Amino acid sequence: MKPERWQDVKKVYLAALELEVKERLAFLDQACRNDTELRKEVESLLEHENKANTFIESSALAVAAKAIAADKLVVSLVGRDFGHYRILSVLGSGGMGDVYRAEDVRLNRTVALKVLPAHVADHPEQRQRFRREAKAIASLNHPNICVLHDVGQHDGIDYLVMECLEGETLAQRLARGRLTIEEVLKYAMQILEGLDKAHRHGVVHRDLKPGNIMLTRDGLKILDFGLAKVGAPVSGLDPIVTEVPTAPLTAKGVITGTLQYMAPEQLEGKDADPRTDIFAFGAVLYETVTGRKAFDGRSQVSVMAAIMEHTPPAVSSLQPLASVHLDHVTRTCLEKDPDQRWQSAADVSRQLKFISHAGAASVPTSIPAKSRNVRERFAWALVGSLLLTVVIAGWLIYQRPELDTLMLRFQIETPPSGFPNHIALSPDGTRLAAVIDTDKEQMLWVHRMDGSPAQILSGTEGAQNPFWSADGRFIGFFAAGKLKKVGFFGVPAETVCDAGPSWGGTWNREDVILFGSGDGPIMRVAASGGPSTAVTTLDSTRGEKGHVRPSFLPDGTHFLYVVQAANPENTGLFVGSLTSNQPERLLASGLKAAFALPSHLLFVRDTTLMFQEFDLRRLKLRGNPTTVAEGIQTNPGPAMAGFSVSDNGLVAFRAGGSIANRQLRLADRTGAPTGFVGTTSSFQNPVFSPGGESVAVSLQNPGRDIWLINTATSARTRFTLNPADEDYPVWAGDRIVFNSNRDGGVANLYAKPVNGGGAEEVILKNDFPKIPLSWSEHGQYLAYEERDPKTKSDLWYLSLQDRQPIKFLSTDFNETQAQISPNGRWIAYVSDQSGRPEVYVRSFPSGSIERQVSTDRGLQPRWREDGKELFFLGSEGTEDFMVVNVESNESPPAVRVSSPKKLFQFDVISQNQRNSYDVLGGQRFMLNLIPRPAGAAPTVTFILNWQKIP
Amino acid sequence: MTDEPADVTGLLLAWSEGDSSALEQLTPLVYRELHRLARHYMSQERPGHTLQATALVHEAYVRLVDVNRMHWQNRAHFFAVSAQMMRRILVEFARRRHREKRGGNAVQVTLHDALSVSADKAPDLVALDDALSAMTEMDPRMSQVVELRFFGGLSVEETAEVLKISPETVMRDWKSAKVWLLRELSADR
Repeated sequence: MKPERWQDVKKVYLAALELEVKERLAFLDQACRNDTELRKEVESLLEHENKANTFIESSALAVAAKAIAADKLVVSLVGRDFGHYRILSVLGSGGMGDVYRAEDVRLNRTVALKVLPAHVADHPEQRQRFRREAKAIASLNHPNICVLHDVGQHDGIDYLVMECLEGETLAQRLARGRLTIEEVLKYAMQILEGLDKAHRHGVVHRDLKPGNIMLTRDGLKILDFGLAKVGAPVSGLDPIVTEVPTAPLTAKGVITGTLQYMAPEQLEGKDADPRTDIFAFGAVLYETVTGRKAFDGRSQVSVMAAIMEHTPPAVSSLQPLASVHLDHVTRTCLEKDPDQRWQSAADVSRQLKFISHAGAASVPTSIPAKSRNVRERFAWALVGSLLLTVVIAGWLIYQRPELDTLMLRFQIETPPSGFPNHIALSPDGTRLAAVIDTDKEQMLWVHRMDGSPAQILSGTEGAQNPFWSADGRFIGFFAAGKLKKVGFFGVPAETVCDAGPSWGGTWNREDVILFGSGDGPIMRVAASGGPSTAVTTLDSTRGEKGHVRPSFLPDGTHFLYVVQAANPENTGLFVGSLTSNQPERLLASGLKAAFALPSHLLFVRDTTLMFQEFDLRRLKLRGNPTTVAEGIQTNPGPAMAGFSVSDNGLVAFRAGGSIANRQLRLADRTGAPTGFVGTTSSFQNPVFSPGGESVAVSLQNPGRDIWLINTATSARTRFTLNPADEDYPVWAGDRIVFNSNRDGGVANLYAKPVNGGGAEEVILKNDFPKIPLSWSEHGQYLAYEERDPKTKSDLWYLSLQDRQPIKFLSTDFNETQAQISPNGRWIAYVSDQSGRPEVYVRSFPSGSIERQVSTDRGLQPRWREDGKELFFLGSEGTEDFMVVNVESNESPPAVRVSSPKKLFQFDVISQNQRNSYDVLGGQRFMLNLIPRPAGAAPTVTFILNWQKIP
Repeated sequence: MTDEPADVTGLLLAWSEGDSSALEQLTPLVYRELHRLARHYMSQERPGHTLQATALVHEAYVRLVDVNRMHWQNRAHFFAVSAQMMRRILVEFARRRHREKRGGNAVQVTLHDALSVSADKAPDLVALDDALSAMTEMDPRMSQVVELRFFGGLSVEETAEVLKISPETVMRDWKSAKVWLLRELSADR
């Protein structure tokens, strides 16, 4: 760390040290503001504060001398006598003294003997209080309380003698996963009985947590009762003895041990009463039901913040088998204000008894994917009303039982959007984020399910691909080549790191963000910012182009992602991990997928959204897929599917039908839209006629055919009639040339007169697939592409008279998309010889002079009618429309090309990378786009409880 | 060996003026104190034990670094040099101990002594030395405070005098240094 930076950290740290614990949070907010690095540094120092008190207080000489002494000692206590206890074996070793199994020789019973080191002796008042307290606890006699037999001192050492227990702690059990509801209720009742007994005797535990609860053969036992109180200081100036077992909190802000179960009033330093134990019980209950801590965080300070401010999600949202009543009980235990909680353990116990006796009525039975519960009701309603979304929100937030088994489908309207697929549901399902168009540019818009007004988040200009943080407080998104984040609750947008054009991101509970672009691996970065590093590697042997659409699984370590490869066979959905680089392939799908609790993978096949059971532990799919909805809007190029799923039974998607739907939009040279040609259809490869009166284009209906559309009237007529697929129309004098697979094999070249209804005739038939590209009036040549497996795509030409194919350019690389210049002397084409597609110009037909035109990727060259300008598309995804000036000489033949200039940018989505646009006279552009629905407002469809689809 | 006054001061002076052989002669003197202290830690003393240990350590330092017997102009410089010397010798000792970890002879002790020694998690001097060197680049004054107090055995006031800063500033540096070092050392594990 730089010295100046360290001085800042030191200053803030020392100042925070002076404050009470509860004041520190506010102080750090103010002192660190946006400087998350500073805050992290200070917080991590504060975490070590309690041990720092005694650290190196003995000088080095003493340390060295003690080391010598220690070397010479062999500490073997087993078999030794300690007062009237004989030490039998070591049970466990804590940081704070050891626990031995010992035999009480007077009473002839096995006990657990816990010994406290001598330096506790330096605080005699502490020891006195400790012993007094312990004597009170020793009087408690209850099967669910670990009995404290004796407290004493021998040879200057304090010790505790407890019941010897065998079994595991609840913490150890929970490390293996959550409990079943039956187990939860069984253990919860026992904890409550123990607590109740202690409370009646005036003893408060103060440090209830899974680590202090033992599950033994004889039942559940609560340990370490009341010892926590000893941590409170005698006076404000004492260096606090923090080494007393399980002493979590001292008033001067030094916290040791686990604090995830501490009540807010404890953090504030107030006195604990039985309701403090109720809170801790609530946190333990929460964890047993869901397997997750109710309050957690990266640092102690963030855990404290969570306890003070955060309301954990309802347990039934994480454990579907939990009933509404259990939600209510847990929630009431965890009320921040002690007066709002259950006031006694007995009260809670009564509630839980009701739940366990109520049986089927309040605890839903488990419904395996295929079987049907007679009481399930299906309600399909296409409703666009706000009222319904409020009801749904009510369900989400307040868990109305009558909606638990209801499956509901409804829609909401959204503002128009150029990126309709970019929607994201918050993990708790209460908010939907979407990218929408405002009159300036696209921004993030958030719809709230509870009916409060939707918001447009400022600072999100140019946003794409939004994704929520796991805690639902932030939205990550991509704009202007950067990964950014914006706080939903008002934290302004800021940049996280550079990202380039990225296709999706995901954000886990540890604030790790993953993102992936179409030309690289999945990258990870901390949400607070910093350098990004790769977590997957592209396998070039399988032709992998990019890893995209990452989506975390609940463990926050594994994640789904799509591998895009040149060969469709190697494209697929994979599972990766932050901690190991051994991806596993799940599906052949090349579209985004997501996981939804408790155990379903949602994925898309074509345009059908499906789900299938997914075993999180083995990372394998199980059973068979079930359809959720058809007609989802998708965009295979960037592996996009327009759906999003919450953690609690809600899925949202854009119904767009087939992606094949396109619009032919007209624009001027600045990219400003000037109209449309025809209506929405499955257009491909549109080309202007030389005069611009019509457009030739192919349409799927049901086979693909060439159609002609009158640009003025938009009237359209079918041009080819054969039921096979015809495509790639090229205007060639009085005919149109196209290719067709009517012969059953590869696509061959055909021509048909434009007027007069003449017959279609074969131009060229052979064993290789061909695509007609361009017609030269000048030499009457047709340039076309032929694909030979050995040499990939090559450029050929022939004259329409003698139809003799002549090879123009054939290399081991792909030469495609050739356009002969108007004067017939030059040819512009695309080659990937440099590793990525670039536009080149060569002399035609000699091919001897070659010039590179594009400098940073180029596709689809088009000449202006006078040959002086050449247009082409720049980067993929969102296309830059580029132009260069061309100066050419005939004799001697020479050509000069200016550097490319950008005209405008348009989201053309040229999946097949071929004919996504045409241009007339250098002024009139026709762009083939995915339509933005005019007229009817765009909608997002929701399905509630989709997992219940049989 | 008895309390024969050794010319520690003279050796320190010689070492500070570049005589590296002086350090070799100082080492056995430091070791003598170390072993004396170690015997104490292994002995059968009763409650009040900790306080007595502190006094003994202090005495050891006094014997080693007897300010009163010196003719040095600059007391501060003397303290700084002796702290450096202690650091060198003790860290070297710790390194050697790492290398030759052997059981040693078992000694019968009471439970009490065993527990009081083993429960005290002593810092690893070698790791501490490395961390301290790293600290010097970040905050040289803070690093010096540690060297003077931890290795040199100086009090807060003495440290303040050597560095010509206020005792409050020494305390602040000391607090920050301890927590920073503790964090550094925990990270290694």
